[in-house]
Amino acid sequence: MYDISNWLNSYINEDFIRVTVQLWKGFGVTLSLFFLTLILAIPLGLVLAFCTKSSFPLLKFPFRALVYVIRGTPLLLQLMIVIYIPGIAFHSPITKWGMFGGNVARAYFFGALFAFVINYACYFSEIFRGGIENIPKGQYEACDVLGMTRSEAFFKVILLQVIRNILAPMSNEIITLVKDTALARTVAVTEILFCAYEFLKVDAIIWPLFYTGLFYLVFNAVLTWLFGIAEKKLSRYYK
Amino acid sequence: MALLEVSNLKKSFQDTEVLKGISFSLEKGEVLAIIGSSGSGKTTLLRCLNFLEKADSGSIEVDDHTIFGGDDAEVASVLASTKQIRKNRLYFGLVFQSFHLFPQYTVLQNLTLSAQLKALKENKTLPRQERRTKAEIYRTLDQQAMELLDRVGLTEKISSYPCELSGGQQQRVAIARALMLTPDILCFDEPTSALDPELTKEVMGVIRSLKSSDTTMIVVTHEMDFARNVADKVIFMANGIIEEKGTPEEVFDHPKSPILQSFISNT
Amino acid sequence: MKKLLAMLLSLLCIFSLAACSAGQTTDGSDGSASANSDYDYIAANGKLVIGITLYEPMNYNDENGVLTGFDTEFAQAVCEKLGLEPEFQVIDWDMKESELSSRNIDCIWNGLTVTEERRENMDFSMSYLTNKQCVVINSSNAGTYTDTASLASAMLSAEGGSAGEDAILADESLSQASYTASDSQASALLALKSGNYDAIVIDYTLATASAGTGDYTELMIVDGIQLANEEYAIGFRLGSDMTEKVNAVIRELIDDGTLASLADKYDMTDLYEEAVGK
Repeated sequence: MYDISNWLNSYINEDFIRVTVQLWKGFGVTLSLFFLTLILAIPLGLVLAFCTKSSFPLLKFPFRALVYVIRGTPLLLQLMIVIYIPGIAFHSPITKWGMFGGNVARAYFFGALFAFVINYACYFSEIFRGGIENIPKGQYEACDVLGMTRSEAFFKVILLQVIRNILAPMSNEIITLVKDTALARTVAVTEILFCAYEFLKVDAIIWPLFYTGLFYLVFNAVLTWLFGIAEKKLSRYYK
Repeated sequence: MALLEVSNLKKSFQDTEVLKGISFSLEKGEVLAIIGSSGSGKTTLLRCLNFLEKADSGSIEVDDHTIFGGDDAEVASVLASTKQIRKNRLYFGLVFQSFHLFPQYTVLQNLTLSAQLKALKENKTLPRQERRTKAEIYRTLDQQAMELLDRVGLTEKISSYPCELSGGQQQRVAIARALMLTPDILCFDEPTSALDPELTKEVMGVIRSLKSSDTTMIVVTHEMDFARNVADKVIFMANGIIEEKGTPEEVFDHPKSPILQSFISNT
Repeated sequence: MKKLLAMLLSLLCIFSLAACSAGQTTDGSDGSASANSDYDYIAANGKLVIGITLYEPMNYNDENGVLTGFDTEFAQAVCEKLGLEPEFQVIDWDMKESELSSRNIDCIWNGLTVTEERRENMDFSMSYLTNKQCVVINSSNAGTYTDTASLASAMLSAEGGSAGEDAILADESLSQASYTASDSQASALLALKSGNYDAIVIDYTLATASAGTGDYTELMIVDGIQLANEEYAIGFRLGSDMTEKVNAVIRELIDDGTLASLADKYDMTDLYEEAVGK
């Protein structure tokens, strides 16, 4: 027992506490980026799904093109475009925009958030489109003959079936999002990996980098558990 | 005056004319069976009545109200608006071949869903003091739904989900769901084609009992026994026209058209 | 409770493995036993694996795609005298300590700044260049930013954990400014070009090689600002006998003028003379 507590002490030293506190702060940024992206990209993705499956060509083709471009280029590149292009091409650097009040960290965070939301909305929209198109025509007709409006039919009847159709691909995409937030490091968003790299550069200690894996793992375990519950609930309606 | 008056209804898909001028009438409380081989246009006719397809020309009148087409082009265009269609299609109820119940709702919720939405909207238009609370509305509708489920013999299944029911039970729920909105005319689109003989009997029994309570019905069917024994009128369709119509005796025992004769001898 | 502790410990153990291999633990037997024979180990391989990142003017590919640069030629000259084949290995700069201790590379020779923190993880050769940190701005602001005092209310950046960051934090005026760490010196330059920052602090060697060239024509070094100097040296494994062997060769190269002419070739005579004298 003495040996173990000795061993423990060698780990739970000042460094460990300092690193943990700092990584928690970084993980807070990671989680903010994750949740805000999710909250904004899901409704936007739904709107995009309706635009890309619209029969009106002025709506359909520009948005299909957008989805094609966003899905066809790396998120890393999109992040750089949002952060650097306003300044380079339009002489209006993002950090000097009035809404950020001269706060560079805030400007970068919301710049990165914008890129994430657009990127994920495009991926989500394709999933939604597939989910909506897989609903049998009879469900719409049943709503029609029962005198429901289009929006009543969608929100009361179709939506939950769409959710059930898209749950598996969405859970994949959302878990990918958790890990993709690490890309924001490259545009100086101080998320957890950025903080870990700081220890590497300033103190030359490596283990915080691997320690971040634990944060991601635990959080993804929670998400996986929640998706499991949702899947169980929804599968009740189907045999 | 008849309850339903259909005149010269026409419908084409691309270049194919599926309905070539259909006219018939139906009295209140009557049961009309529409028979004919596949592709004869009988399902399209039913879908036109329920506005799932829009007929190209002709008119539909229910209870002296023109609900589709007619002589006045202006009236016809008003009738073609989404809002009017939504209102007018409620003269009809429709039971589908493959039920189309809402999988995520219980049997009871399947019945009450659209009725609740309708009642809440109507409630909003009432003067404030006459409005009822949501709970009251829901209670009344649940009551009505229970009565209907009793009529189709499914009171013990109110909390089940559609996937937990047999095909026959699902179709009985679908019938009760269509009745929930008290349509003037209840339409069936081959209601037993997806069922095996035992379950067919169960569903046909329910339709028979509806006849005894004076429900006006149009049934597109392949069940000749049903058409002969339950229907008051039979229409035989072929190639987009009404080839022959009459009482079951006239149609089945004394068919005039050679197409009908060969149809009957083949079934 | 004990179970919980044990679980936590085993997790920590997994995530700290890298720490051990990086020579974090001073009592580890990992480094010292082999360190005595580090030269023998390298000599037996017949080649010196040199960890670099690609940047002008130290190590970069010329227009023909051939690796060149001050450090490249310097290393080739030293290896020739030692009878070793130089092998340049591009590494992730952030991972240089573990690359070195895991023997993926034998030394870091890439404008490596000597710092006290780094001395805990590696041995340094003698210094061969002085590394200056300098302030780079957009030339449209040349009239505004002339000294450190004028930058006190500006938006500044440097690579996180770099000597430039240290220089900003140590300077009385610059530390007043709004500071944001960049991912790398390259992205600091890009952000300066886009106007996201008013000024950045980067290595003098990189600043002279990039400001005013390519897409960075409108960037310039602020001449009037002197920041703390550091020295460039070669990093070897802790306790390695390579350090002495290489130092002897460097002295030879200084004495015969090879290094001075190399510095001249890359326009760094002043940096060279500051480090080793005339």
